[in-house]
Amino acid sequence: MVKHFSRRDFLKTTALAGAGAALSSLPHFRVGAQEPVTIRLMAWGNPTEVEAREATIAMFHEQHPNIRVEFLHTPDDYMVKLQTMLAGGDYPDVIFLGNGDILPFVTRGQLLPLNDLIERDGVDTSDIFPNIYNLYNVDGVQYGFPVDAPNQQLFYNKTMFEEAGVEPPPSDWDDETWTWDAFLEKAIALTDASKNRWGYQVLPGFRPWWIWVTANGGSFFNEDGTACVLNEPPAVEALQFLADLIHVHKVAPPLDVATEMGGATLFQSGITAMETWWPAIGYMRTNIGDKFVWDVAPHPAGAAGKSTSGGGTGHTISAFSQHPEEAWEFLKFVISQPAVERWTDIMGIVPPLQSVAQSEVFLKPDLPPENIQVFTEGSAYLRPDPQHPAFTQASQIAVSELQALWLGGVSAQEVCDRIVDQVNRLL
Amino acid sequence: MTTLPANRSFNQSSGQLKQFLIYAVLITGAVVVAIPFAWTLSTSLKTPQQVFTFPPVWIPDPIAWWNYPEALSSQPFGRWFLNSLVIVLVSTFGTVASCSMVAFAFARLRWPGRDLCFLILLGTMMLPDQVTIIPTFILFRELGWVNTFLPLIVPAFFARNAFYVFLLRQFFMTIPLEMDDAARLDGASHFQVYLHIILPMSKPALAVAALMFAQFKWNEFLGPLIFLNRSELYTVALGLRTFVGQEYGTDWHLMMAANIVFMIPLILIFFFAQKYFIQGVVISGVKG
Repeated sequence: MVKHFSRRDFLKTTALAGAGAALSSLPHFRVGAQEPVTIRLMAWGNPTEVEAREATIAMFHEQHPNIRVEFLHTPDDYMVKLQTMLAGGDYPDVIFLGNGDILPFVTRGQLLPLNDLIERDGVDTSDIFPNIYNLYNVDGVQYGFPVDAPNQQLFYNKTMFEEAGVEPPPSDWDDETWTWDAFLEKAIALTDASKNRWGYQVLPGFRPWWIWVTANGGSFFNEDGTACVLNEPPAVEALQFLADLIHVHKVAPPLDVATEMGGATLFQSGITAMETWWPAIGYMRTNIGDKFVWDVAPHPAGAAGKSTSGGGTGHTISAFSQHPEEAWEFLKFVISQPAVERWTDIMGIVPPLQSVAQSEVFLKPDLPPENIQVFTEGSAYLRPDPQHPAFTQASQIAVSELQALWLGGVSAQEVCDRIVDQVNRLL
Repeated sequence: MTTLPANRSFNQSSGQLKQFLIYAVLITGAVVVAIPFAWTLSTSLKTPQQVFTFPPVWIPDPIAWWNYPEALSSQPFGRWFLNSLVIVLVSTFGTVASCSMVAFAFARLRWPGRDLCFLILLGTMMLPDQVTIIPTFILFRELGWVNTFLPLIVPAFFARNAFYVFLLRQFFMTIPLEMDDAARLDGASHFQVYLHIILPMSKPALAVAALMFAQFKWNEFLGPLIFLNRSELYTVALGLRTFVGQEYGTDWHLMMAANIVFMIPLILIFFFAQKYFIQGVVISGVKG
């Protein structure tokens, strides 16, 4: 088809081009009264988290009347929804991400680097717990800010300790008497299987056993990330120690009971005396109430000293955001002291800012746990999840293979050899 | 029973034994099946501290009936209930209308490639949602339908669920073809045969399809999760998950209270339409 280019067409085209040019130069003239920009924030959360989020968004709206934050709340199956949206070309501006997902998202080029923005606006990040801050950093490039600084610690039922006449675990990180042997001794003294009382609970998730592995000097990948090394002695010893708690010393309930109930439920029910868990302190306070007295302590030191796992969640900006400036304003706001205080107050979690972690907003001296500082001090002992693009899949393999170890009948060495085999095929 | 009196009494007692065994098995089964429900009900009436106690407490003290108003007012459940209702009613109508039309074409009309088409249709039942969800999402995004009910409703009008086509086709096949011929002799068109002959004779099958689809739609999670972003648009099934926390714990007592409330519509439907549900098993299985 031959299309004649008439004078009218020519005029139309020029007019359109002119209008386009005018439109494209418009942002430079936008100064005063402008249309509010809407940015979309993608996050999950139970009602408490939703409350905290809506409260902070309301504060942000007050400070920034020209930016509206639309909160895309995902009740469950967050990754399914997020991946579908991203694959379908629907990009939220601010994405809430667990620190373990940062590297995979960066590898796929889905996150906006923040270094230039931090430098341009002179954002002071020194108050953020340094090793928590670094979880959102890949090869020197910052991609996000943390919203919390959680690390898993040993929750213990003080009432059960008293009843069994056992000295509670030391809360001092420098106490050198708190070793695996000391731990086992206490666990044995606390266990009375006939009354369904147990010293400890071995949880099958990644982070609860990762603490024991790192405390013993074990690693998941070798240094250049080319091979899985979970079958080397430090890791194998640690996993065998945990399996022996169930099968040899019988101080931890068999896995069927433990897993069916889900994390922390046995502890909340007063069945296990010690349990490794996430610092959902507010949730623990509500659910334990005055059933028993509880407190927290560091995990016992292994061959490589004390350790904790965790890391938490943070806010990032989509690389495809249409409004990166506005999204950046929001990110800066969420890490500011007033916003962190509000968030911490509602959530009862470990805040990412050291100043807030030292304040009563977090410490709440009238409420348990008495040794709440274990969480803030523990930040220095954090051994985050292994940073590797294949980590999500690799950890799933490890967690599912380890089921065999927790169920009994195989040695940690056999299971770890199997894990290494499978993970190495991924790499 | 035409046996001797002595035998009869033997038969009677063995019959009683049989009855007893049947009841014993059924009652055991009923108790096992009812335990999760009982636990849900009991949890919905507990305070958070009572939820996980050992040994488990079945009758909470105090009975925390206030969980119900708290759960229902903690989230806009009224709105979500209406959303679910609209989606379920409209899409169920669409599914029954469109699937029965397609099934009619497969069961009552002869056309080239019919059986091949039917096989392909059945093949779509094998595709898991996870495979089709991204292309589907892209399609509806291009249409600008994300964040509306349209992706959850419109496909139902295009016989999107092959299973119901299959179900209705099987039923339509059992109706004698002479019915159609008689109607055609009287000058009925295909559509008139469908509307005036086949549909009225298939009411039980249509009811089964409608009930099964409505139940599926009421509980559907993935579709609403992907296509709805604003909480005003949520369905009940999606909204109930808001009590689930990733790291910070789940409010079991509130979640169970809300679950109980939103179980009621399904229980009512099942209660009144039991007959059809059971017929559904027969229709899709042995009849024909």
